[in-house]
Amino acid sequence: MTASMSTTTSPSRGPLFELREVNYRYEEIVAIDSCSLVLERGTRVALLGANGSGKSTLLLLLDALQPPSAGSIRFDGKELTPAALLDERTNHDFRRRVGFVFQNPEVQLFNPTVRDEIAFGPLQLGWPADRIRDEVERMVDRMQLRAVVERPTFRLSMGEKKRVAIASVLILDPEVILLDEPTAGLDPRSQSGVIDLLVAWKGSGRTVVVATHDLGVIEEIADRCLVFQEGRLVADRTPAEVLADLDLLTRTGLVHSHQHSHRSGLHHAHPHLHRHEHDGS
Amino acid sequence: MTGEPAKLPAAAVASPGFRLAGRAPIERTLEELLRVAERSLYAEETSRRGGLLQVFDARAKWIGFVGFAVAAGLARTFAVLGALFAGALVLALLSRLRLRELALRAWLPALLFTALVGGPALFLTPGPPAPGLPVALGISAIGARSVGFLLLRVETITSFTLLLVLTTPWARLLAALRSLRVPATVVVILGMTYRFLFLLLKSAHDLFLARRSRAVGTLPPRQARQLFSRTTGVLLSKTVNTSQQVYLAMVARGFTGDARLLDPLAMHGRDWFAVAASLAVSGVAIWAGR
Repeated sequence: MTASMSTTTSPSRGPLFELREVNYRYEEIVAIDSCSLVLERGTRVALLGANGSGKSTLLLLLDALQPPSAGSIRFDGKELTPAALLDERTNHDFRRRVGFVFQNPEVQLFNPTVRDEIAFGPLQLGWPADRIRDEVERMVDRMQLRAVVERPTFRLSMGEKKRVAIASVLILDPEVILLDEPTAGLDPRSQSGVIDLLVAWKGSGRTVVVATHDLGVIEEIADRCLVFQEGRLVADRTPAEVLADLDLLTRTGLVHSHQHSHRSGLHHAHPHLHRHEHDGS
Repeated sequence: MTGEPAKLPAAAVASPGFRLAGRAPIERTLEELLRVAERSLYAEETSRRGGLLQVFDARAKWIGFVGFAVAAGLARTFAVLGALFAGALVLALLSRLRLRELALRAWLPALLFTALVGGPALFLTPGPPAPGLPVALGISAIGARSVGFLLLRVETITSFTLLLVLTTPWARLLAALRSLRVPATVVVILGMTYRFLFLLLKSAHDLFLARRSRAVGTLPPRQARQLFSRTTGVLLSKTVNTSQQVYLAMVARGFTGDARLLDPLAMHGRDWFAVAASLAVSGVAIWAGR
């Protein structure tokens, strides 16, 4: 996958996202608990946490696909509310600037062919037909989808589906990209392609928020890590600091000192854990 | 999913009727439905072929379809119904559709459905016996005529429906409905239903496959029914959840309810001519078929 992309950073100043005391509940379950944070423009953020810790819910909130149960979320200085997004111009502007790659590509692929799928977003945003055709062709080449461009999306491999899902978002050239477990369920080659893409966004000015379990790559793909536990933000540090804190990783279910290390290759990324394992503790 | 793996009572395993797990009727039905769903993607392929109906604007085809369907519904003579049916056949051939496909997807199911619904009328409708048939069969002339009309009417309307669907990409069909002032809510519901059906069938198939992989024998009918009802509930909630995610994924890319097209709908001279011709033919058929 070729990763070069143009940058579409907004000329506005101030934080891009600002969350204040955000709560989200699925009926009785608290998915996000009193979360306050600020995401600056151009930063690459990894959301870490065990399954069910609230990472995916936070991404849905950031993309305004779910309104918070309490608290407020501001994007580029404006509050994100369902009412605000009813305004066509606001909705159009927000959807153009913020792209979301879902964890399960099955839910993101609903058009008859790969080409239709990639063209869906630009069509919704009312791009001119010629521009859509050109951009689709460019994206097909960039994501190495030429061989499957006319194929029905349900006939693709998981790796191909993921690439199509990413292409369908990247074509909008969003300023912010939210990715939910982008490497989940992929074979090593496909994982490597996605990671290369994330790595290449460093210094692009693009804001990237990735929910992941993969500690082995966070130093490459993120400048900042937000660690969640049972819906609460429990740490906001650099990747190196997070990887050095074995207690935090263990407490939040991100490592289980013995079983995980040899399979995940975590010992390369985490010298403390490596030593810990060989201490025989 | 389906709860704990199905346990077979020892007595059932020991019984002479016990056999290893095979595909239950429900699974066979699901596989068949999945095949049908896959064939609807065949519609996307046929709709891109260069044939007669493929060149017309979707709105022109909708209007023509409604006209022919009304004419078939009102016709009271076999000649008119037969002519409309023959017209559908000619249009299918000119649109490069395979008649075998039409037979499998439209005529055969319509025949079976009509036989099921109208069959009893053959024997229950009072009147003189149908000429040319043994009196012992007890089929009245009026009954035979009613069932014949029903059958031909259903086959004709189904053929026109299939012509519309097989020669028009789904997105264009929906866009045409919006353009014909059908409310956005109805169009969104139609679009989501189409996607929901795919997800439902795929989930159902996966679910039953997973169940089969964990079963070592056929369950007694009562347990099989219990398992089926539990599975159906789980399946529906799973699919509703997935379709909600699909909707969110659409919204995330700017979907607001309108079906948008890369090549916008456009009525050219040939489309207006097709509308005029189909309405004229429908009008003549309605008048002649009184």
